[in-house]
Amino acid sequence: MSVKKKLGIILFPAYDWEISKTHPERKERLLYTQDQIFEEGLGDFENIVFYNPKIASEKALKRVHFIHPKLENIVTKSHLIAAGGAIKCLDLVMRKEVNKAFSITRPPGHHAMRVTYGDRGFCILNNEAIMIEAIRQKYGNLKVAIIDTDCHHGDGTENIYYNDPNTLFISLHQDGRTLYPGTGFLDDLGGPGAYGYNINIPLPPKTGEEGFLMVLEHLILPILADFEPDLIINSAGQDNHYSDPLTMMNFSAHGYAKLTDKLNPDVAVLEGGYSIEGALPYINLGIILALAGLDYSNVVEPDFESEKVSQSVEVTNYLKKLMEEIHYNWKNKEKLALKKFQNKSYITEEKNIYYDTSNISEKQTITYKKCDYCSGLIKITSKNNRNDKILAITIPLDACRECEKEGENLYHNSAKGDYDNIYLQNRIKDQYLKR
Amino acid sequence: MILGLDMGGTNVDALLIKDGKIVKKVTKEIESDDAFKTIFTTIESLIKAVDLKKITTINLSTTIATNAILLNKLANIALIVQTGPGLTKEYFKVAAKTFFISGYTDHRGEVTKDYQKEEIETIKKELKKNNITNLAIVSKFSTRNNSTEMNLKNIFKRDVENITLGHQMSGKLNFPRRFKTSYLNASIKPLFKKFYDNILTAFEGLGITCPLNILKADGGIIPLKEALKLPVESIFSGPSASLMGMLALSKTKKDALLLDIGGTTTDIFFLKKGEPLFLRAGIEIKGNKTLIRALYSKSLPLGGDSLIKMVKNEVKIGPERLDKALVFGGKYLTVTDILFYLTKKTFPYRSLVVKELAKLSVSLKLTNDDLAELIKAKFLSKIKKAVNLELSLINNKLVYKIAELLKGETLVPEEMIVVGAPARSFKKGLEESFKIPVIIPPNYEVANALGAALAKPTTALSMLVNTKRRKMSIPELSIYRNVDFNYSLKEAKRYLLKELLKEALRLGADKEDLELEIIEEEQFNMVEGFYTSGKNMRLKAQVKPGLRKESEFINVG
Repeated sequence: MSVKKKLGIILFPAYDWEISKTHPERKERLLYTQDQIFEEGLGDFENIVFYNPKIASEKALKRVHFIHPKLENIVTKSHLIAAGGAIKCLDLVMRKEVNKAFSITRPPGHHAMRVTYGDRGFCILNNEAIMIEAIRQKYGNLKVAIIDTDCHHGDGTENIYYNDPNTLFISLHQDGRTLYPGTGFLDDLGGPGAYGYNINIPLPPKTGEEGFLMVLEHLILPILADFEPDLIINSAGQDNHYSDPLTMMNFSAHGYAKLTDKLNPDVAVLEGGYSIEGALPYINLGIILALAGLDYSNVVEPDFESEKVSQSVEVTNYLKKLMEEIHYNWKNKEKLALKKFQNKSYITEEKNIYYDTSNISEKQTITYKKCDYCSGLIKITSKNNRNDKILAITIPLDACRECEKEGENLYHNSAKGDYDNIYLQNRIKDQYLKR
Repeated sequence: MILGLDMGGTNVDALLIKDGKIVKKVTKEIESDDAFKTIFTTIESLIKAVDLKKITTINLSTTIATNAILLNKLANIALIVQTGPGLTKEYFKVAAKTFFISGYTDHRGEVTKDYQKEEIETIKKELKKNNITNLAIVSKFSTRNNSTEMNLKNIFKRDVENITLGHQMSGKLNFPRRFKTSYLNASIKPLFKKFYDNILTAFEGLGITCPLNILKADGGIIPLKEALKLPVESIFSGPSASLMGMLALSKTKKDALLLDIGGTTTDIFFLKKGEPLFLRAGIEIKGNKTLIRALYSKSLPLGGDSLIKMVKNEVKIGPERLDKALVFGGKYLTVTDILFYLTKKTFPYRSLVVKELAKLSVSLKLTNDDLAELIKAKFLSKIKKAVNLELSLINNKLVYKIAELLKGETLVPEEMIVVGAPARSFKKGLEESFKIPVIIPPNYEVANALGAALAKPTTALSMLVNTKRRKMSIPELSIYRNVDFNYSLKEAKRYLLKELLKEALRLGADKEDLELEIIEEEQFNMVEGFYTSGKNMRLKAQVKPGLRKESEFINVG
């Protein structure tokens, strides 16, 4: 059992916001979690402090997203509060007001990519990315590891940090061949500026508690030890639970607590999880106790049976092989990058992105500039089936003079042509332009 | 006529009100440890030459429950506790025999696992062996389903004399507080019962037959007989008497800051548009966080009798009170002495005050006048600091809805109402420090007894409806019923208000002087696989707290 830590919690169930009357991301979603937290009397613990969220500023969103065509039409107050809650959590930690923080807000955010036209997988704003960039703006370009333990691939976070060597993104999810969003494979290791820093761990369906904890201990923790991050962020999705209606995994509340305890993140941010009566109250309780350094050994779902979190020998063997391969990629990332990007100065990728909630199909061409002095300029051209067409340029926080200049020229001198707008994200100047 | 009595730390005040006018009042110093004796002698002298038939109600604010807890005069009790999954047993420790049983009721109110028969047999034996006759039974989520607590009550009712049930403490969710509240309630029941029996016999002897009520921490009253079940509700009735009295004397409708500067403590209260604020969870006593509904108050160890002393070459006020002020024949220099000194007038024991003051001023290289001013300023700044802290807590209260977060309603006191012996001496200083008008109502010396006299029965109920499970509950009344799938929020509200009215009348409320209100209503669509599977409703209703209508005639000068 670890020592007691001061934990800040933002619990904001947004009881007056919903996507639609019967959508799973619903008003009721955190109701039973709140009941459990209240009944356990967590608000009376000296080392647990609850806070109200704040509302994220427009600038905070623009550090991460190109929101098109209009922010007001896409982003609701609830999204701004979920992002703002996350920012406040990390800020509390940075200011040392608390040791750790947990943002329990809705809606989630890890499917939201750099370009945002609408709602994907219940997400519009990437709460974690907005949080991290807000903090980097204030405290410098910190080294951050994001561990996404939602059952769905964190494709939005992957997209945003694909070329950032200062952000290690590890997504632990049910194999994309069997679940939305259908991505998150081993070979997607990152852009030329950060190859190897995007790590997907696609778990087979029916992975049990043993599997999750094995992957954590024998793969994730050693990689984190190598990376030596300033901050560890947990995208704490709770849909690996055996009772989740949308997924096929065998994880438990106690398992989540143990995972949290071992991962020891600075901030956890709630993502998905839709077994709102049978799982969320217990998982959230387990995560809270683990973060606060309190005894979570008695956090057990009333319907828990050990068979519900067991896994087959096949799954165990599959995982062992998977871990070996991922570990090899991590250890040999420089070599692999050299091979993959040799003799190329620009790397272009095509991407088809589907917004399931808003029903939008997007086609993206992303061009990464391979640069010896920084992670490199990023250029995105994107169009969708609503006839939106944009050019979006990102000058990253670590950009060299050359890349910054090239990005600015590209923004000012590209022909407007048939683009609706041309966007520039200049992270160095903290300047966000549109023409 | 209404008789109001307030027992403080050092004095007991009582008065009689007729048509809003104070017709008689008595103040007595408390000489005995026996609360009953004190109350009896006070009332005896108050009702001399009064036509007893004209006394319609007696409201008592006593320290009996508070002192029992503070002075550890607790009965030998046992607790039966069902924690289920969640926090470990380590968190449930009190100075009483505690039996943990297996089983669980979940947040939905479903008994997911029952306790074991053998566990019950063991407890029965142990109770007998240890000769324990007072029991508290508490289960997690018993406010969602009290069946475990009720079953156990039936099992043990012949083995013990008193049983306290967790779900009757409050409708709120908070198991550790439910546990502590039940523990305290069971522990003071026997003592309270003795007090009740004594009072009843004595009043009968005096020929008093009118209803007897007791003041609660929420500023309301309940019949003394009802308090037998829940004596813990009468803890900290003093501050609530004080606030209700100040309300009666001031009648403000603004956001206000209220101060009661007493001998040992200064109590701080707040009004939002003239209405008192309540604590969000419940009152805390001697480190025990409870579910007892209470008016928002903060008690500072700072008052007229606070000791003035030197600590590390710095002058300090309190927190201790060792004796009354020098000017009243006490032994040590106090705040009151400083205030007398600053009037520049003559007063008893002046030379003694000057001598004590000089001892301090010499070592600080200050004049007596400067030091006296410094102490006064220090007193004011302590109050200011405490008030600001409370305001920041109040104004950062947690919200759960977007509309509430955006609205960000804050309390900003526009005026200040101050009572207590030193009130006048601090008026100017408080006005300068807070930059709002300070009002010192007349008759403030009887504020507490007046507050007790003018308090009305209060009660609050919570209701939960789950149409998916076809269940509804009002835990405070032990109502757990089936409803049909189409049960609506409108029906729920109507039912809750009906039950609230019944309960208020049972507690002695006057139908003509009663306002019921729904204070919370939420309805959630329950969704299962993209379909609505039911509705989850949460409601709260209360008797609107306030004063008897006689308070309109109270002379406010």
